[in-house]
Amino acid sequence: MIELDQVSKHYGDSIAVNSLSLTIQAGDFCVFIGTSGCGKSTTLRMINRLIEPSHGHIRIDGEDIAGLRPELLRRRIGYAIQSIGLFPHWTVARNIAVVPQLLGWEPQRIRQRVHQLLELLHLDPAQFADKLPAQLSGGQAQRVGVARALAADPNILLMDEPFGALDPITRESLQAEMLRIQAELHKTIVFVTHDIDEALKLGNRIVVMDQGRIIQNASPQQLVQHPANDFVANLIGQQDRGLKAAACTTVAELLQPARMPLPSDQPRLHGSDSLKLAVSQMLWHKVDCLPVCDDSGQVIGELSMQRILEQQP
Amino acid sequence: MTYNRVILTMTGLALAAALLLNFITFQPNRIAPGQEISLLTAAGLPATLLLMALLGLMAALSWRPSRDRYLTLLLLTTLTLIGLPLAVASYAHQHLPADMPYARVGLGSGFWCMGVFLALLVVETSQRLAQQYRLVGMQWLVTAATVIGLWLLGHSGALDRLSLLQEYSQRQAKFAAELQTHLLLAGAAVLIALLCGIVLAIAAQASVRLRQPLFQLLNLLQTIPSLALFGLLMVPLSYLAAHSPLLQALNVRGIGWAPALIALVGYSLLPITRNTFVALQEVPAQVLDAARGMGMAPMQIFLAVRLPLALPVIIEGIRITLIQAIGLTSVAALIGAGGLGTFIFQGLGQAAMDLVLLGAIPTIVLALLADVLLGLLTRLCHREPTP
Amino acid sequence: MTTASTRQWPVALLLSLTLLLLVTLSLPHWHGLFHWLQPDSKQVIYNRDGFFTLLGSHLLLVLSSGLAASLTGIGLGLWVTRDSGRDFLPLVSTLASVGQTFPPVAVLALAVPALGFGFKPAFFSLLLYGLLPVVRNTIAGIQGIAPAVQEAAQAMGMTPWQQLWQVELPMAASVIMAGVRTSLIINVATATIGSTIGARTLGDPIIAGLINFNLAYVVQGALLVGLLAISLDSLFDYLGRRLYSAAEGH
Repeated sequence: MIELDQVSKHYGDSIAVNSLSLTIQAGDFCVFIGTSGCGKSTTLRMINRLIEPSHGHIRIDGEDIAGLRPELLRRRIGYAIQSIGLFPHWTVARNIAVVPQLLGWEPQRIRQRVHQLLELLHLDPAQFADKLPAQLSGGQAQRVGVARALAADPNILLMDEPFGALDPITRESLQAEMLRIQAELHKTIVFVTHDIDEALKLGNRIVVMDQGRIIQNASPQQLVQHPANDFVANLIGQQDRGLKAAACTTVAELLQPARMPLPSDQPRLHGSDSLKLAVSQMLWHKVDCLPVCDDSGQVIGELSMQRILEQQP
Repeated sequence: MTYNRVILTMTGLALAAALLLNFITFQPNRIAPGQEISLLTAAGLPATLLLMALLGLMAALSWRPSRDRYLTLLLLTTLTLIGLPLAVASYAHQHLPADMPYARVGLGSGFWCMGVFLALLVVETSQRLAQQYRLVGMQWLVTAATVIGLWLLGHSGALDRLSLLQEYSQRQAKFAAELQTHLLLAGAAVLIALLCGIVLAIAAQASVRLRQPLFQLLNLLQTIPSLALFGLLMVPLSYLAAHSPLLQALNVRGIGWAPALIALVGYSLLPITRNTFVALQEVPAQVLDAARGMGMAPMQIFLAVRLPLALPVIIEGIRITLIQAIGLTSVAALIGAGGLGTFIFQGLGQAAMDLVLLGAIPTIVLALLADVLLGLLTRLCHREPTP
Repeated sequence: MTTASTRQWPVALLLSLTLLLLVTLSLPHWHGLFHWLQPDSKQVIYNRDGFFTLLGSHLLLVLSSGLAASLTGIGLGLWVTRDSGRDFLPLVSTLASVGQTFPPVAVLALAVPALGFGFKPAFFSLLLYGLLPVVRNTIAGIQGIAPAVQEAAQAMGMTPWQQLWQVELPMAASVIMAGVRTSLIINVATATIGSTIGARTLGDPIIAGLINFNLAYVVQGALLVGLLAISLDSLFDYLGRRLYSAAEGH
């Protein structure tokens, strides 16, 4: 659990973060979103003391971090930024091993851990371990960045626009990767982005910031359906908020029992798909009802346009 | 930042230099070793206290710096910079016996150190003013004020008993001639190298095969110490001069201007060719594409697009080359080519330190001038043309 | 890491070093050539000092001042890029670039009034002048590291020392080495002129030859000092390439 208690950061006369209070529960995927200069990065960087707050306290699991040695604190917290943060003079394996080495792990244990992490991020260890960052594509470098942040198995992961420099397709696959890893590892993640779609897709808690203050702190569904003010409404976008809301709900949440056998040549939905995808499929195939199946391909129910319309506000 | 540590350090060092090192030396004649004289003896108690007070005030101004404090600091530094030679002049006026026409005052290590620390103070303060308060170029104002102050002081005759000026006044004509030779040699070398360098750079750009051996050769040339190259050139030149009446008529010999100029051109070729090559190479491909796309002929592209875009980097190359040539020309004095180095090596030979200074200081000033003027030109070329 | 590039013989380096040694050893026996160069002189081989002695003392001057300049220069460059010295960064970097416009000869000459004649003034002016490229390149090397990398090092929990040793120095190494190389090459040339202020170097035969109109002396000194400079340059070329290939990992 991370608690921010009336935290402020001043630079001379300008205020970057203004008396901000926030509690992030263990296991939360908390996304800070806002325009550039709203204080989201500053807030994130105060959590591992890359920036010292001017006022206020930050506690991790009840312990005030101001009393810890910054280096020791940081070794307990994973940190991922845009891919340029990899050490260019070290191999992928050495990059991932940084924190375990700082913590003085046995070489054998470090090797195993690096191997395990490369596999977790779907990078073939035999192929990638000895490469240098310059030999990687943007997406691969970013996977290494995430692996490095996870290396010492920290409870908390801080991510500062980690996918900001990637092309849309790579970004999407890494976002899916993050969701999978989070489902597996249950870390407390604080994630900074300026992309509302990324925020809605990844977070289970979204903190909208402007001018150093929190404007709204809500779940994705709440945020889309009840924006606190025009600023948030604008951020979400007036035109396609219906689709954005649909993106926040999964098919499984609206699953109906199958009423009749559906033609087998129709495409099928999965329980983990979003309503947005379901609507898109229906529009494309010109049908108002699609079967839903589980991972093994067994049909477990169906979803109709009617049901979706009933649920949407 | 509650106080500027650099200013505090510099004023502290200047103060230490004022108190611990000898301010001036008294010499009964040119060669006799000087008698060291402290600031207190030289300037008297009131003037010394005044200087202490000035330096103390400057140190105090480092506290909570602001625009006005920095400006005040610059004013005080300028006053001190002019005040130091004034103190020397007043000593000379009061203490040099009129019946000893060869007696002279030399500047001591305390004087020079204070001058250096105060100059650093000016650099630091004007940099802060430029960075934090957008007040650019204050160092030139201070330099101008100091130079004018010194010139007026020198012109009034107050500094005539200064050994440096005595060395100068004894050989005014020779100084002017050597200065001219120096400028002529360095300038001619850079000009010839510029013409050759542009041709070589264009050739290197056109032919990839030529590129590597060319730059390897120029690099090798640059590596050879100047004195060695001057020496090695003497062999073929004396041989040629001995066998060619035409060259004899042109006063080409193993020593003198010919080997100096050839070596200087050789040294100048690398920086000029390299910069011109890089400059031409680094014109963005999209710009060239656009120029081609709009139907410009190759020559038009070169003159209207490539050259103007490459100009700042080429001028930067000329700047580096000219500074280097000015320095190397002083070595050329050793092979009888003349120039300001003549005074340096004569002075070293006679152990007459003021003669050494008479050669060394103007050489440094020339190099700095080349640096400033060509730097200014580069910046002018960089500026976007206003519509 | 493949060993092909590191196993390759540094041909230029070995060639220039062998040539330097051979010429130094055999120069006293080239009577014929130098008599042809300087037919009117009885003494054609410089004999005030042995060529090995001159080479040794030239190297001693260049290497000792170079070592001192490198250590101080790297130290100074690192200090002004730490928090503790950052106030001095603008002044030091201005000084390092303006200082390089000072002609080496002038710096050498100015050392005499302060320190007299001999090894000492030569050593100190070489040290002072050699400092500038090292300081400048150290600052450039450290500042050339992407801020994101610096931040990542800090965020991983490295102490300032660990950041310096594990990240900043290895990444800036090739730029710093280039500064040391520039500094040493300039100093080989300046040390030659050091003869005029009484330091015993390979410039001695050249200066003696110029004073006595003995071309043979001049050529002997010039040949050796030119070979020395080329050897040193090839050495750094080789070291730089090894450093580069080590940093690139292949």
